[in-house]
Amino acid sequence: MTSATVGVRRGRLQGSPLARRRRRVFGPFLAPALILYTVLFMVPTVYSFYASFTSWDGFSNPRWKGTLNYDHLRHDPAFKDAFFNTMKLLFGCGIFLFVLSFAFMLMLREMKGRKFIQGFIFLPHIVSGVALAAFWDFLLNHDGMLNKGLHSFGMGPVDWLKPQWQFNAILLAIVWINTGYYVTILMAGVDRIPPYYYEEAKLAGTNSWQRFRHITLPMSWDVVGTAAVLWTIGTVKIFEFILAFSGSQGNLPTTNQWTSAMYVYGETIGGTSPIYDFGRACAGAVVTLVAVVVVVVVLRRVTSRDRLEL
Amino acid sequence: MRTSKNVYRAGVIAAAVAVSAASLSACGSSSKPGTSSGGQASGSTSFTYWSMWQQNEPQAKVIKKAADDFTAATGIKVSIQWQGRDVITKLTPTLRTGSSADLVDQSVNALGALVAKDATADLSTLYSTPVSGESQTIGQIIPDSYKPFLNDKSGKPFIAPYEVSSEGLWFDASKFPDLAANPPKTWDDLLALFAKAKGMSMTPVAVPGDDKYWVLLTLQRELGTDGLKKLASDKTGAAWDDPKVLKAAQLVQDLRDKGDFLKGYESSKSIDEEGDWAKGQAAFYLSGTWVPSEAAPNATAGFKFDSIQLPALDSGNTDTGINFFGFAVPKTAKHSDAAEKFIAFFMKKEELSGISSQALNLTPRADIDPPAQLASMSKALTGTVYADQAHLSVDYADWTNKMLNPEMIRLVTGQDNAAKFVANGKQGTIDYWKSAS
Amino acid sequence: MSTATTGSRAESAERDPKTPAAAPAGRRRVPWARLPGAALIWVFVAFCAFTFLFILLSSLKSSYNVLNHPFRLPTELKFSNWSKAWHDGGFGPAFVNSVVVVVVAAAGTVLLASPAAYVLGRNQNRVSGGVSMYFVLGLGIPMQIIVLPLYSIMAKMHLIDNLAGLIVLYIVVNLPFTVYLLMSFFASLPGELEEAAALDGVGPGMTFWRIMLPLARGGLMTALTLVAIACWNETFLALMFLQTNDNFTLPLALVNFLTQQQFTGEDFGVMFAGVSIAVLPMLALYAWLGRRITEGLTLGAGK
Repeated sequence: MTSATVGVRRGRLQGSPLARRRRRVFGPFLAPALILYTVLFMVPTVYSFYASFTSWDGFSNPRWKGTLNYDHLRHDPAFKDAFFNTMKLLFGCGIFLFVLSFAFMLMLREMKGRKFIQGFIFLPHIVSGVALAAFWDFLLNHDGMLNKGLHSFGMGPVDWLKPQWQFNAILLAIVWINTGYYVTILMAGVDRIPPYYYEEAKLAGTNSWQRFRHITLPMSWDVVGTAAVLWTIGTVKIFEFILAFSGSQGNLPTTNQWTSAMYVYGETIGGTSPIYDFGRACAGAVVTLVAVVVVVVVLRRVTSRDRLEL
Repeated sequence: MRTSKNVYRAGVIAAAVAVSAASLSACGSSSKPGTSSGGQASGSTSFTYWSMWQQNEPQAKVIKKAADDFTAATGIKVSIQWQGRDVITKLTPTLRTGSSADLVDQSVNALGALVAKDATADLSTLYSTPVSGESQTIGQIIPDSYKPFLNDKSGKPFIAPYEVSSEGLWFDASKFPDLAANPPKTWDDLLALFAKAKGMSMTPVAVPGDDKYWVLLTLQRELGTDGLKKLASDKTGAAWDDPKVLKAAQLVQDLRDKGDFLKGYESSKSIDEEGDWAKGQAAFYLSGTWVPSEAAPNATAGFKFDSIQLPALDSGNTDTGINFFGFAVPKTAKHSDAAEKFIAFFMKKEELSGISSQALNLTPRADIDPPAQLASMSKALTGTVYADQAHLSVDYADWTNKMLNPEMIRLVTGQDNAAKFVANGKQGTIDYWKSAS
Repeated sequence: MSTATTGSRAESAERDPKTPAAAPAGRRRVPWARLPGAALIWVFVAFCAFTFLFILLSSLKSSYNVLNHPFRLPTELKFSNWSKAWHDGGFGPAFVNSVVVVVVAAAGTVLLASPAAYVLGRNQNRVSGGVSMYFVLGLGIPMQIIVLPLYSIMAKMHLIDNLAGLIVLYIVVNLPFTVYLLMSFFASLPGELEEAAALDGVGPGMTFWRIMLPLARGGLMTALTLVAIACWNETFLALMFLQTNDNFTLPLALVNFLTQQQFTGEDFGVMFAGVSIAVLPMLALYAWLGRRITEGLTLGAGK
């Protein structure tokens, strides 16, 4: 994942004594993290992958059933909802989030008190999803703050959380929570662009749009790519906020609010009367993960190709 | 380009990991849940109880007191862990490795999934054990009409119920003093009652946006209990073509269309609607026996909780749905003997009556007076009862979660009309059975 | 030429506020054409600030006032909300547990991740490329899917229902991100110092410990803070792996407290006091180390 330039510089050192010495510590330095990660993360993952080809309730022994779980997923309305919602998060939320973050980042660079502002918009990221969900509900529900506010202007009330809109409320919250984080990452890429590029471009008589199009965008493309990969992979895991926000009293959210992680939880141990279908849940996770890997590969292709155009 | 090569390399590593995962699967098979039976333990001096309650809930206080009394009387220590409503979720992984809990509690519906997987102990012996300090056995203090709902498929009891619950249409008896004695006999009577509420400048009904009771109970009244089950089990979906299904759905849609539901209900949760109802914004609220204890802190001064049952519809069925909260012993429990002793201790009148007097809920014992708020409900439960929600959430859990619940919500919140509800229900049921494992 | 620039600014204003002209060298006053954009940022900032002010202020109000006058400042300061929440929610022991878990897990994660990230970041070959991908893979696997097999393994190691077990888990789940972040950090450090050390005969272990680690201090602090925040807020694994009430961490206590509130007639003042108890320590940490996060992420993600 490191950029190619580093690789070139390193290549020069490949045969040097330093490189050889470094290779000697390669094993010992890597081993603790690698072993722990393998035993407690990858082994369970592979086991779950195996479970996706079985019928497994989680406590008795799995029974092999081939690709039947995958076949059944196609007819499973909850999986369709979960998959579609995950894609909505990935693309809908993602595009909105990145446009907003990019715009904020560019404007912030020209504003006074930029560090201060950046500090504030990062804030939601440090709070637990459970706490944010409690606040978000208090803000948007029918007797909530927003409607109270509208009322004092003689408007409303609006049913912000009606079933058709509820998932959008979740999407909005997720944009809100993540904007600060991605502004910070994107800021990184743009801050590294040497200022003289802009100076020269200005001398050449370019306008600000041209400078954006031909300097800022291509030169920060790499970091946009990294951030997009982080986001794509991360969407599969969004869980706590949705459970806390849309679930109530030990009950799961209705299936039209489900995302990939929620599907796995709801199909197995979640809710007041669990379903214990680990086989199908694992199959669902595998399908989603494959879709995400495809998106990641495409993203990396796109971002690296555009970089070459420079 | 590099990415794909790396993916390949990661694949090589993954293959190595797969080998170790295979060994994990071998490990997993060594502990079979069926082998260690609860009944074998004896002479335990302590046991662990995982509770569905949080420590400040009234039920928790009653149980805590009983546990202290139990320890004082028997010397057996009780380690209570308040796990909350997720207790069964937390229990699941322990079933494979040997449970840390010797005693758990939840509703019949919530325990149902475990029972279906044969993960709870048979309580037959316990049922024939006398209640501590009393002459009757546990099996004898539980009314016979309840027993069919406490057994697993092979007819063995899996739960020792300490709290009985059901659903009813709740109202403030200080505003409708004669209603409990003269409940509506027909749907038209019910509509007249709602009209009366409107006349008293109240919205007739508080209903949460994710409500299940209105559609489910109306369907039950229209189709009968077996009819409800047929909707789930008929793989051809033909059961949905019964015109009574459409009629029931239409009744609910009409309530909605008439504006009988509290404004903004589409986006509300049960806790909000319950609060609004208790504050007098709506006259009626269809929900469970927990309403009086839960809503009391928000209720207006002089509020008198009481309930009626929905009137009969075409099927003529007026049975009352019944659910139980009670103790179960995981099969993997190591101190099941002590856990069962505690159950026998808790079921005695002196301890159990706290569920009625302090927690304001119903108990299974006929000799414990129900709290005043639940007197009507208690009376309804002496009639014919059926498994709450026809046991759909257990026998057809997947179908209920994925198909029925979302469709019911769409109907209640007006996203679909009655005809669409029926069409979707039929198609959804057909699709469900295609994908059922 | 200068006229073209002026013209373009008006033009960009028509397009939309996000159309930028990033010129870090010449930072000047916000032209009024960009006001809508700046206003949007300030609205966003105000909303974030409002969230926290609202939670904190509501925690001192009566339930009635929270519900009916959410925007009003508290008329009386009900500190009793806090003590009630503290007692009812069992936040005391949970607080101690969370601090222990967070401190050890965050330190442990960085301690394990940094040598790995160092060798992965500074060796460019097929093996390190593959291993890096292998770590990145872990970023995309939801916990819900691995929790049961994981539980079996943890049970064999007697790491269920104790804080040590949870710490191990937190280290493991935070490894992928931390390795990923620190890898770019180490890769971006200049190689000269390392070469000089090698010529002086300093061993590779010592080079890492004495030279590279201090150089990557910014990245380490970032990783430490981000992992600490993630662990402080983690609910799912804590729910599945902690069983005894005395071992519960703060997020569990908060979840239980919130449901308990619902079941026993909600007092919104007390509810927000509970939320504040969970949020305040992270706010304090952020106020103290927040700049580190933004600076560190900036460096780490740049590669």
